[in-house]
Amino acid sequence: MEEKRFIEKLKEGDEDAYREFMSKHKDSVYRIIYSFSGMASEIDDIAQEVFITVFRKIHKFRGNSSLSTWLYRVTINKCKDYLRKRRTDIVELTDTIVSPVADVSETLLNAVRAKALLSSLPEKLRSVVVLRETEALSYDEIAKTLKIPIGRVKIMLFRARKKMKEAVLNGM
Amino acid sequence: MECKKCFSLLCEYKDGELDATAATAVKRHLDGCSACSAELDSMKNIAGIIASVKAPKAPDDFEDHVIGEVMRKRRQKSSFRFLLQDAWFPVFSFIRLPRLRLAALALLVAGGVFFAVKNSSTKNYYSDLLISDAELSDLDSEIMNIFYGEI
Repeated sequence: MEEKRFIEKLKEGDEDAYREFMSKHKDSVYRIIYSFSGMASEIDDIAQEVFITVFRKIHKFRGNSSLSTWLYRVTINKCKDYLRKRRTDIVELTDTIVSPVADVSETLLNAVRAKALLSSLPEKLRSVVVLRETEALSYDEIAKTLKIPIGRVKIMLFRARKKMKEAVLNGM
Repeated sequence: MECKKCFSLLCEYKDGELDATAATAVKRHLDGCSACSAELDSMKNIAGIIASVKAPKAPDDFEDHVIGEVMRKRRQKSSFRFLLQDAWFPVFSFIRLPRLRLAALALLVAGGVFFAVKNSSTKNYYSDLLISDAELSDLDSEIMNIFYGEI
């Protein structure tokens, strides 16, 4: 009920509702874009496009899923469009991996490893892993976000984890 | 539970997606199986690495920028709608969809241009056929010469 009222405000073009929505979700959107595309340089542009698209198309939102699920779907689709346009796949991620220095912190090293692991996955598997591991979405939420059956989510996660384990064993 | 069965359920077990009965069965197997436990640990480690990704922060003016863009696009759209409103195009008032109205308008303009071009080319055609007075008198004298010359 609360979300319904909030959606109505967004549909009316309420600026305060826009701000509230962005401040609540922008970190998630940034995390998904960064994990999925791996590009820090274009992240602001993609995130802005995501929210602009959501606000412009909010009148088409029927409420069949939650607003955040819809936002994540728009985010993943924008990332895919972006990667398709650029015809590149996590270039910056591999760039960072080239020369890890000795005094690099464990956090930074983990980030580099994460990027290498994600870049080892094809787009479809990557989107499932990003939604599960970075946003901790349930299988049901992932299924609704990507508009796929829940059984498919299970299979994709299984395959993705197998591939990532192979990548680790092969020294990434 | 066999290792093969446990392995197939490990993902869901790790993600808390199994029902209580299945989760208990997997846990019981894990307590006595080092290979499956190692598999689960490896899965958790990889998940932990991915979750550790720190994305860049949004700039301070992020919200202002997005709202500015949304408002700008909305103004563009409303001025476009203003151009297509009933008062300007009463003929199309029965068409409710702006895109259809625009298509009808484009069709009308294209039709107008087509007829204008067609009419102007027809005029040229007829004007080519018209004979001026001077030309007519020349022609008359030529004909007279032919006839009187022969006679």
